[in-house]
Amino acid sequence: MQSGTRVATAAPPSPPDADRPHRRDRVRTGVNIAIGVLLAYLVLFPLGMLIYSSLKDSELKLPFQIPGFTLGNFTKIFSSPRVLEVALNSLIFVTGTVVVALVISVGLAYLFERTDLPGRRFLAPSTLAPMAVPATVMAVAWVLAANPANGPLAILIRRVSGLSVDIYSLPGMILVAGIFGVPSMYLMLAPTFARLNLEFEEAAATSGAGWLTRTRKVVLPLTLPGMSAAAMLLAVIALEEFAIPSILGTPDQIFVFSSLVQAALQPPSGLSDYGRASAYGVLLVLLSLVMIAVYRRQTRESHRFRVVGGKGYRSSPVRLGRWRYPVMTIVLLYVLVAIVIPILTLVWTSLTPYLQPISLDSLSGLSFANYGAIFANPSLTHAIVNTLVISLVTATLTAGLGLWLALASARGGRAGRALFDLSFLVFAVPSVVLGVAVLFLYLFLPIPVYGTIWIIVIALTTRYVPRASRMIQTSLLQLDGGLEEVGRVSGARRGTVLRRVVLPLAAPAVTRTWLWVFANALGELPIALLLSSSDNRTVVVLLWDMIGESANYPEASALAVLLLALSAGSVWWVNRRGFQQHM
Amino acid sequence: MQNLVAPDHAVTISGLEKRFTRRQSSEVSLAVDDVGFTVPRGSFFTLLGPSGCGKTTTLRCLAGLESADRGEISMNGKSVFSAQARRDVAPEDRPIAMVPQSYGIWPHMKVYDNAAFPLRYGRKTCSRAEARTRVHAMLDQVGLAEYADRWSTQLSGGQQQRLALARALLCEPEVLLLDEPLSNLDAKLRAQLRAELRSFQQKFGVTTLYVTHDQGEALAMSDTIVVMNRGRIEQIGSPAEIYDSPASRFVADFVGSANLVPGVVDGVRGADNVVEVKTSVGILRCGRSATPPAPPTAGREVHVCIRPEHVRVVTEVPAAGEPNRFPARITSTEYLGDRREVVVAVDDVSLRAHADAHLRAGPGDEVGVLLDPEWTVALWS
Repeated sequence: MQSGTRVATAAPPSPPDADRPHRRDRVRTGVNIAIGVLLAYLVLFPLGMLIYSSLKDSELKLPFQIPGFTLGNFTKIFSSPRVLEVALNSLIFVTGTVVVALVISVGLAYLFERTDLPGRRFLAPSTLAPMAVPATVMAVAWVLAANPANGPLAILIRRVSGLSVDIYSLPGMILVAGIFGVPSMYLMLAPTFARLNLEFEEAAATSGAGWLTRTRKVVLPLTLPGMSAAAMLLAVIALEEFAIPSILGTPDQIFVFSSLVQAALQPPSGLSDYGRASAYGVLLVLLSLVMIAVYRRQTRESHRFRVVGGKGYRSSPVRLGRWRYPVMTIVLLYVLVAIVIPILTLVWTSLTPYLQPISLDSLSGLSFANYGAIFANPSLTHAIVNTLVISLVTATLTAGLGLWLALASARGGRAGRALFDLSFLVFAVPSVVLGVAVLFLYLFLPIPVYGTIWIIVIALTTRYVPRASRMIQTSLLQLDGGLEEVGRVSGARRGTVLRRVVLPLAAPAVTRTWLWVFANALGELPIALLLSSSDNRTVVVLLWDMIGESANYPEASALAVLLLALSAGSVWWVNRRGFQQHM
Repeated sequence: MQNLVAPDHAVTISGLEKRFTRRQSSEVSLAVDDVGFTVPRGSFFTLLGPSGCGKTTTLRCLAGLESADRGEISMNGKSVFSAQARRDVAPEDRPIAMVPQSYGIWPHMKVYDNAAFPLRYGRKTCSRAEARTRVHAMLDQVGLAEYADRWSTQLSGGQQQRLALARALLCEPEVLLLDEPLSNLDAKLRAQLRAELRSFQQKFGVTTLYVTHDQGEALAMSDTIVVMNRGRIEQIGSPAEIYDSPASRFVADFVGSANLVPGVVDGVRGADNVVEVKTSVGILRCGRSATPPAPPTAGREVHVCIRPEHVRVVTEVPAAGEPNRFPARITSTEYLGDRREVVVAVDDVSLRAHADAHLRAGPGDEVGVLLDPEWTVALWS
């Protein structure tokens, strides 16, 4: 004892112990600053550029070629009757989309999670299938399936009910966007319904309350916070949705904010109105920001209603009884009409020589000629290479940056977490606006990326980094901190622990994230479209041109089927171990 | 008090069977296998068993939350479930109330609204004013009167349990179903609420079916206990019958602790059916045994059960010829304050015994053990 004390006093104070906390702080600060700078460069720079150019009176010239500032763009927008019309269209479109998606997905989530609906294990994944379809392909498929002239769905409805259906209308846009929104909404809602403790409903049942009372007084109030949060998030997504309102709305000049921004920048006349585009962009960001703020507030308060799950086992609480098969038929019908028929029509059209109604007579005329034609087209092979390079590079960059951000937020202390939280703001920047902002930024900065595929890579990376880092962070949060501590205690250095313990454990999440980004980058239209020039066009942009300009639907369908196959493959790959939603 | 009412059965179950199919292997297993019993009106009836024994499934079949595959259930003489007649009355139409395991207190309602739910939307609704007086009276009874306007999430575990009980009693059930209502509470609270629950049950005289895996609770509260294992009933009896005369090795081991010694029947003596069992220790005389499935013959395999508190450890030299008395050696002792737990080895059989706290003997000492014949049980299965 005594000798021990003597040794301790004799030894000089060990230097590593003394400056240790200091060093760790410095590393942490460095990481935080680096993240801050990165986020600022990726997000704040383009947004600043957008605001800057919205204050320039630049009808035809590029913003920075004009001296002085003006509010002229905004006064011009607000004094034209167009703004009211577009605002109203956007409101109707967003509200309608949310309502359609909410009704369908709440119905499906309830049926799949809380009843004994037969065949749910097969039906649930089928209703999620639109997830694998890029929005552009979805819009094209619906144009083919429900256009008033020869769409099989339109013809069927006309024959059955005598009603004529026009997909080129606000209701058409709402229907397609609503169905397109169902999978993401369902993925947000299903856990709410699944986790709702059965005891709440059982307690009501044994108290003598019937199904309707139970659902009205217990199930609905408890799932309402989850539903409203999901609805708000879908509203943000619907507001920025571009491909569907643009492809279905432009033929009849029905514009929403996102399609108007693009139309102002790339009008058929060829005379871009930069000022107007950026002013509309600023408006769109503001709207989106408000909605994101509301969403964040909702999810923050929802913990009061945190619904604690009980034991894992238990059968479904609601027995459908004699309604089992009628309800199943309705769900099957939904899958058929909403998903199977449009996709089948697309495939059918891709095999026909010219646009015609589906019939057995034309069966003999089917061929792969369209596929041959598109592969013979040199601009297509170029576009395919572009698309693949863009998607591969974007996925790799995004997964890497996302991992870095996620690690920083998990280990970077309070400042790191706050920065990570701030990257949520990117969700409020619609991709059309991001496209415009990035375009302006690189026209201004002396970095020669304009017109190359790299400008698209930069914009897409910005867009996907926040989501990617969240996907990876969720998996890092699930890791027990003890695993790392054990590594440190066993004598491994910080870097070794990271390499040998953390990264191998995070690897599956990083892979999934990579694939997710890859699948989304493949089918991303607005950014690729706004940043496109002669040399960097992607497959989706080509598809867009084919429908818009040449109206060559059979060849466009072949292209769409190709895109669908690529995207479906990678989405299937991401989700083969179960669906997940990260927000 | 309730016993004065003519003996009538509040619940009758017969031949109940519930199958579960595993998802992956599509293997069929029986969660409840040919369960049948009757519950006398006004009694406190307990289903006891380890987790997975089918007790909760039986209760859920009773509540109508689960549909059995075979069997009959009737309540108050009315059939509520019959596999043969394809009758399955919905839970809301059965004369029941239930306190689920984690109470099922709705987090989006205030305490008052939780309790008032059955009177507003239940089987027997009543006017607002009447509901008000009744809910307040009931909340007063369970000691939650001053919490009526609070959010139910602000209640502690014990208070939530009382609220769930108040809500269940306001249903005015013929049968009250309790699914391990004490299992989520800490030990001290559990003992307190156990007494409370029992006194409420006696005060309201409601027939109660109670599911638990805690043998202490079952012994302390019940009029009748059903011990279940692997979906089957092992024994039905009063707490004293279950503890003192277990019918099987499972019951002996699950309820309380038991020394089990394997052996074969040597003979049955006298009118009081004393069974003599030949074991590796020697001949053991068993003063108790359940009615054997078949008349016991010499050579039949049996187990002998003796509770540690009936094993006496003595330091004086044994008198020759005394039954169930053997020389032994102490293996280990544990001082527990009120007693000393001793493990002794008789030949190669080790027995646990509750000895006097101040026993003057330590490991390695030669002692004698006496297995009181009156409390020694022969188990046929």
